Amino acid sequence: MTIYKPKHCGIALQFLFFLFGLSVQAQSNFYELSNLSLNDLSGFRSPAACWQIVGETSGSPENKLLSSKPGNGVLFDNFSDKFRYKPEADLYSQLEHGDMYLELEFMLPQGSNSGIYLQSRYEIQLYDSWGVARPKYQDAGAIYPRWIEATQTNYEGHAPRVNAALAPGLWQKLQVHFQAPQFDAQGRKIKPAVFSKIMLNGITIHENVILLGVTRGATSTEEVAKAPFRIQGDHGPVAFRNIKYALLNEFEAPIKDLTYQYYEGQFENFEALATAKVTREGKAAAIDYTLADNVNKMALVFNGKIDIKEAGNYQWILQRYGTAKLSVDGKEVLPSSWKWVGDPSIATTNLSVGEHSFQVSYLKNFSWWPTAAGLSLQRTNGKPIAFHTRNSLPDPPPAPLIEVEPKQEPSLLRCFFQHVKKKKTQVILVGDPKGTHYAYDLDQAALLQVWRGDFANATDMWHERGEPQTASAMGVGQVLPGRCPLALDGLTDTLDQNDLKYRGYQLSTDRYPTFNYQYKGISFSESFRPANSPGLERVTVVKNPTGKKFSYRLAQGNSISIIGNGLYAIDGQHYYLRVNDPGNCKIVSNQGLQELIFESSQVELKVASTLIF
Amino acid sequence: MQSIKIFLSTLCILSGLSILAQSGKALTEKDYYFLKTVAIPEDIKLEVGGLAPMADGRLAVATRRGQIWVIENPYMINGTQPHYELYAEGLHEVLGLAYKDGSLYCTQRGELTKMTDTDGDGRADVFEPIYRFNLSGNYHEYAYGPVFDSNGDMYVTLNVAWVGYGDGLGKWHGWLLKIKPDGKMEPIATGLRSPAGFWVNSKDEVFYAENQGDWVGSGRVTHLEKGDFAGNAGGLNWTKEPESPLRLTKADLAKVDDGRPMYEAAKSIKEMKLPCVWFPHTLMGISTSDIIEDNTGGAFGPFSGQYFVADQGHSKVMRMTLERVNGKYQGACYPFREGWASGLLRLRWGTDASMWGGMTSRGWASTGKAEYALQRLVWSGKTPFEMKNISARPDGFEIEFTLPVDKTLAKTAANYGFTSFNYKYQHQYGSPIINQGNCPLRGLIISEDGLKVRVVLDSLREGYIHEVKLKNFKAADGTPLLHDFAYYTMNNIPVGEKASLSADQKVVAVATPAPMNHDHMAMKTPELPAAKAKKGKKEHKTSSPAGALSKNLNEQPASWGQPDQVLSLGTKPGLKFDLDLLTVKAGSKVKLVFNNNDDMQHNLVVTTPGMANKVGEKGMALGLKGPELHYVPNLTEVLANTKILEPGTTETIYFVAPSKPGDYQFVCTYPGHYLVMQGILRVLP
Repeated sequence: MTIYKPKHCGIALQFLFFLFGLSVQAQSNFYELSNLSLNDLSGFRSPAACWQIVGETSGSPENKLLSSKPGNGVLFDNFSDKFRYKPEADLYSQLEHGDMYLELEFMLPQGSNSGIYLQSRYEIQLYDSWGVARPKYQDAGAIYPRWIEATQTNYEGHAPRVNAALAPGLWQKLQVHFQAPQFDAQGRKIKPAVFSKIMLNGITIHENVILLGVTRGATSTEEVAKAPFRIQGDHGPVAFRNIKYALLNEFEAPIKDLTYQYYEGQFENFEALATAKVTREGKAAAIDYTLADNVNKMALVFNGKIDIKEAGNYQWILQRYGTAKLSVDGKEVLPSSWKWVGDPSIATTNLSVGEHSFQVSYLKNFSWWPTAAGLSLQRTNGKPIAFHTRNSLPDPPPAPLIEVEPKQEPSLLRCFFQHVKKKKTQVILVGDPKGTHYAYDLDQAALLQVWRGDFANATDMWHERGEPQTASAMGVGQVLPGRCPLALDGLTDTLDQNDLKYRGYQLSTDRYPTFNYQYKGISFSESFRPANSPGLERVTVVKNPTGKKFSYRLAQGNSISIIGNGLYAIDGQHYYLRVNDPGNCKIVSNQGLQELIFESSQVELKVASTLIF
Repeated sequence: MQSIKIFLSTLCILSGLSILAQSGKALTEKDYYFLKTVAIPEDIKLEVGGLAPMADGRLAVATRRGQIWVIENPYMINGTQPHYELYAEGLHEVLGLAYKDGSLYCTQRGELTKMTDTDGDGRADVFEPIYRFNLSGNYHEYAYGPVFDSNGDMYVTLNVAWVGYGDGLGKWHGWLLKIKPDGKMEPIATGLRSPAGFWVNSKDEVFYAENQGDWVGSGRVTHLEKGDFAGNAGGLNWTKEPESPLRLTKADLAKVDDGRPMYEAAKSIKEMKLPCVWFPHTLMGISTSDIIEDNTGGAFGPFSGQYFVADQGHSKVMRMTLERVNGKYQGACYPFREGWASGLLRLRWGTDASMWGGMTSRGWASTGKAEYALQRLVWSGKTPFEMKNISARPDGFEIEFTLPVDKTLAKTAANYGFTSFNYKYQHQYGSPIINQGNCPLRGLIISEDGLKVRVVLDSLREGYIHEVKLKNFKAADGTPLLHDFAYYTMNNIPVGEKASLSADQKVVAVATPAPMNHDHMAMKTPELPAAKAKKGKKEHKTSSPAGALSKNLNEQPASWGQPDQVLSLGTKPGLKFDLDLLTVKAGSKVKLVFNNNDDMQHNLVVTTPGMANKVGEKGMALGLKGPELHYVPNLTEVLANTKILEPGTTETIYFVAPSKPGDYQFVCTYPGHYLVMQGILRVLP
């Protein structure tokens, strides 16, 4: 049994704060993640011989096997036929879990199949679904169906919303928020299991799916409060790394003696209350901003006590529009600050068993935002307890989706676009009816992102005034460094508009754009087409009448490795690049990154490469 | 008798109602100019940003969602269906479109783009950036145009960003730019805040329409020439650039940022260009948009050579006349045609001298309720009886009419009213009406043909807006005046000879004050609520007619102890209260907190059952007094009210609920809001 208590093991704590959209009230979680050690197999119960700890695995789009290098950190199912359909090939965790957040990375070779069973009973399918247009409930990320033995039929399976699977041999990321079923004292189920959210490669593929029973292949049809999680190992090779989790527990912290003081008026800050008159005061059942008459010109101060049953670290989650502060046991733990409701103030306090007093104060002196006041307490990885009424911290209604969908021909969409941490303003998104899309920075002749699946979400552009004015990708793919492929004076990050001149685009008869540029005496054009294997082909045509020497950058990443035959793995097996003529290519270092480049002074040149992901 | 007169003049304001004497049938704006609505296919969101009528009868329409549609048969001749072809898509919020020599030109956020169909399939296949705009990424950095001049050069305007105030974050935002077809750009003028509409006239002069906002007290139209500063500070960020034709800085504005009228500020800021015509906020419109010049040679009616200015928020078209006085343009604005289907953003002339109107109301609510629309305004061929043109004289105005006037009525001094007023020039958003004063009538000279009336006035003020208000006016044939008011912007009083008045042209005694208010009841002596009168503090400005304030109690009456009930009401975008129903007990003491969360001004007026519309109409009819009275008429039907609340402000009022149970109403009487912004105050036994 090796469940790391990170504090004691000196492993860095990871805090994750999950805000699901803006629905803050019910779903804000503050997790402290634990690593499941992959230095050895001690975290698992009686692992079969196919399971190994290795240092690295790699694959390619076509290879049915993964290769590995010795070391640790990667859990590898070096599957062979003798393990096929052998139940003992499945791997069970030492830890038993109820409610849990689990994240991991996995790698599948071509055609392989695995799965993660929460509580050994509820399976999220892992499958090589690369290129599947319309995923089914057997595809990657699906919640596997249940099974009727008598009629030998599947039912209640949940296909992922979109196919978010990447190519074989690439690392993919799965994030699971799981709520275990609950039982009363007599053992009767009072609440079913729920996948509250599942994300595959950053794409939400399920949200709030209720499981009416165990899925097909469950260890047992009997549902329980706690059980190990299980990794399917009997269907093909698979590798895992970075397995992290938070076990979520119920706890109690009854609130008592809650009182409030309401000050009506336009107060600059809390100091102004010192000389202000209390408009009204009394007992309160819960924190509730509607105790104020004038919710936009007010201060509310609540004093109360909580009864802590278990000593430990607790997070106070303070939310509001406007100013708020919090003291616990007479000590200010969250000083006065001004925030909006989606940006909670969080303080961790170590609380002993027994009574603790707190004082929470809210101040609002404007009305261009609604009013909200909330305070929740959460034991580390406990489920937050709200001390406010539901009305006091309302969920803002989500805006209706406005989607852009290519039909028979490519769709174009000029927009603002968030790239890494920068809002880019001269971006065009190009969506292909076959489902491979890209974002291109017209200003820098740079590919910013490629993705597959649905095309573009334009809600933030076209709902009401469209204040962010950004469009976003609606599928799975890769964010790229976003640099001009041509480099004349060293491998610079950005080019000046006076040097790199955008000359517009023309559309082919089948409506694919070609973008034209002038760059210091060199003219070049760029066009993109979906590749036959799921990916994007980029063609750059360069006209260099003076025979100037230039560099062409094929790829940039933290690492670039050669797989062979013109295939490269970029960024530690995050995506592939296929180069038609790899002869002159070399990998160079530039500002901490690796770049795959070649140099040329040809008068005319056509470069083709394909991004595979 | 008096009350009937009031009724009529009220309706005149509201709908331009008039009564044709001969037939007795009431004639309205739509009898002279009627709207034809273009059918839009169900799956097309035609949120119009640009219109480009083509000589071959097609109409190109750009949308805020970045599409360009070319509509064949948009005139729907003989009731035939229009046909839509998608010429281009994927452009970034296109807010201007023009057709020239086989190509369409548009502004999208990031560039001025030329689009050409080179393979003849009816769809653009070459997209060339003529000029690229610098952007900070703020949603409010809109680009408008291009409008071509006779030389084939293009003008574009760039909106300032909104960061709680308008700022020119991206380079040249807040500017009018001139761009040659080869992409060479020349910055012309700055001080532009929200320049959604502008026009290059037949003399290659540029006029742009501005929206009320920071540094802009009210909507207005300004003639822009090289080096002009039109008032908003945002664009001054770029006067440091070598190409800038002016060097004025934000710091230079600080010394005049004290709420003095713009006319006064311009005395010490030489670059400051005064608007040629102010469009008083709510009295004419609330958000001026496009401008076009009537170059139809009379095919659109009697207003050839004049201008039409659209209003997005009020879904209407207003009329503007200009004259040069001391070398500078100034002139007047008049109501023209309201009732368009949505927020009117674009105007262009059709090939048949009808007026195209392109509309969208997304994000900015308008009186026309449709989300988007495309309509065409067609002249019926009948001449409306209108003030055709008001021009300044050294001692007053000459009012020219479209039809000869009934001279007896025109000779009646009591049928005229003239008031001058101004707005503050300040960094704050908008302005109240300030420095209001009457211009007593001294003489009337009616031309032989009855088409012109020369009015001789006292107290004309340079730099002021002058309201011209007529009542009981009829044409010689008995046709009542369709619109009875206009606003003349007197930047300069012309020099020249004053009128010499004969004895019968002199006005001896003028009833005072001139009848500025359509609702005379609002002028009654206010009855101050006891609670206020007792305090003896300076609660009201002495000049403030207390009609609006008599039922506006902000302090809890001392006798109450505690209120029986506390109600809270807010607003939502799109002219809505956040609650449709409030419930109170009969006779209870009510404290009501009204939060204006919206980005527009609103008030809250509690009325007797079924009277919300009446109170709203009367509020609108308050005219110039409206803002001061918070658009609340002094009627017994009004039970309680707040003042006009600026966006993001709150007011608490106290009132005693009626003793008689029933469904009372609450309504916002800000002009243009009352028909939709209503709710029920249910009084329970």
